[in-house]
Amino acid sequence: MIVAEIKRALSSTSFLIALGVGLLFALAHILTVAVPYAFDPDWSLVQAGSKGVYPNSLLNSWIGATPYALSTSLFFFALPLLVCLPHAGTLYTDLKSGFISSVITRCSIKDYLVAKAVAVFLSGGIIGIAPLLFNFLGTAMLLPALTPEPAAGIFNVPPTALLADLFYAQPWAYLLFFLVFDFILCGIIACSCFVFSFLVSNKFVVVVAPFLVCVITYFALGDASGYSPINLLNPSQSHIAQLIPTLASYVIIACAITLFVVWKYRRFEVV
Amino acid sequence: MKRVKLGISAVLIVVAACVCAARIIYVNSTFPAPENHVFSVNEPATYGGESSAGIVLTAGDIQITTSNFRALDHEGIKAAIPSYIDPIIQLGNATDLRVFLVDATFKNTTQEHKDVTLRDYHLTSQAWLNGFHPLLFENFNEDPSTILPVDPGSTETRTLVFMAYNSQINPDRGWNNLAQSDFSLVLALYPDRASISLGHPTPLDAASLDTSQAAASTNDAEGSMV
Repeated sequence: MIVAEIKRALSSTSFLIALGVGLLFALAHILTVAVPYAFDPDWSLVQAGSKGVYPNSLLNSWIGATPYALSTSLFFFALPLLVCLPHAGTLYTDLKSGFISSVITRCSIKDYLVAKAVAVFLSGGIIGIAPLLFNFLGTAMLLPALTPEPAAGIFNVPPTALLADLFYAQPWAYLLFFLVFDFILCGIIACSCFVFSFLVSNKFVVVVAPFLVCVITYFALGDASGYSPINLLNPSQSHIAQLIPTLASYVIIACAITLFVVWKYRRFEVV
Repeated sequence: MKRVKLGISAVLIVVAACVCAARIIYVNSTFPAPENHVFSVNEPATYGGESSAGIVLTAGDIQITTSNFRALDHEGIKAAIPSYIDPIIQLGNATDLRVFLVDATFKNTTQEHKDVTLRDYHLTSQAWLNGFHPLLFENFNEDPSTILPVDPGSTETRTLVFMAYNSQINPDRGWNNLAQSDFSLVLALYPDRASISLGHPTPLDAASLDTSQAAASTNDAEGSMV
């Protein structure tokens, strides 16, 4: 059941479209940020240490390190929508079309839900980090991987950012943390569509609702907007967030989604 | 047929990976990582390179020796310079500050006049950094020039001033823990990095501060900019 559901998620046209859009953002970023940094003639002066300037490098030029770039802003704003496009709305369609009734004659509702959750989580996670990895690799082929230096003033991870000290001490551990965190967060965002499948009666709204929640939390939470997924997905966060409250809040959200779906389907099974 | 397709795909993936790896190795070989030279307090430190003012120093031309590293809190700086009004706190962008003072002696080891660009120095502690504070520098030194002239064979001493605000620190790290952290005075970044490891600052109260120099220009302190 799980394998079939994953195949269904990863081979769908909507998955390829969402992945393609994400990769386009990543490519646009390479062309507009990394390529000019790499081939600007001024670089020959910078390489020689002219006026003590620290050269642009991979860790201040990839899509996760350039909050000032338009392609970065568009990508991280669009990400909550992209991760929901491929498969997150299929629970709603299965429910509305009656497909779920035929499925539960062949397997338990628990197996169906687990398979659906794994497929949606994986498709969301892959769409979240594939463009990041593509952009990171593309930028690494153009710019050197110099050690981040706070005194250089060119690395967009301020001391107020989540795990900023780790970025300057162990940059690869910091990157690994954010890739894993982004994968999980994108998976949670995609799975949040399950909740909206019961609350609204329109597939478009089911798929768009998590994106709207992310945008509203980003703009409406004031000092707490650092905990919005749009801020946290970007490794160079522009708002302050603390580690423990961040992890705790998303564990609670994941548990709440699970409990809500289990509660709803127990009722469904009884009916 | 399926096996052939699989084989071709595998070969293409391996070729693409090799091309990517070769390109990454090439790019990193043309921009080598800076060599890190770390000095300690009371040890003569040297650095070379071009400053932001375009002044070129060869490593060894100037020896910098730091001796005292002290921290002053908001009340302390208000007591030392009563007319000082901090614009960041006044605007509500921070609620507390620390002033860090580093005594540094500059020795010209050459037979030529040398200029040292003090404003290029940064104080760092993990992810936190701040640049040289020119206005408070005026209050703690008789000569306010941030380009320090050093005659052949002579030495000059200055108190370098840096500022930290609580709004610059992630709450995970804790503002109150900052003064117990290790600090570095970064002198140069690229192509060679040179820094002096300062350790923890000594807490300083205004009563023990020599404010004779600070008092000299207190009128200029109001409405300062950072």
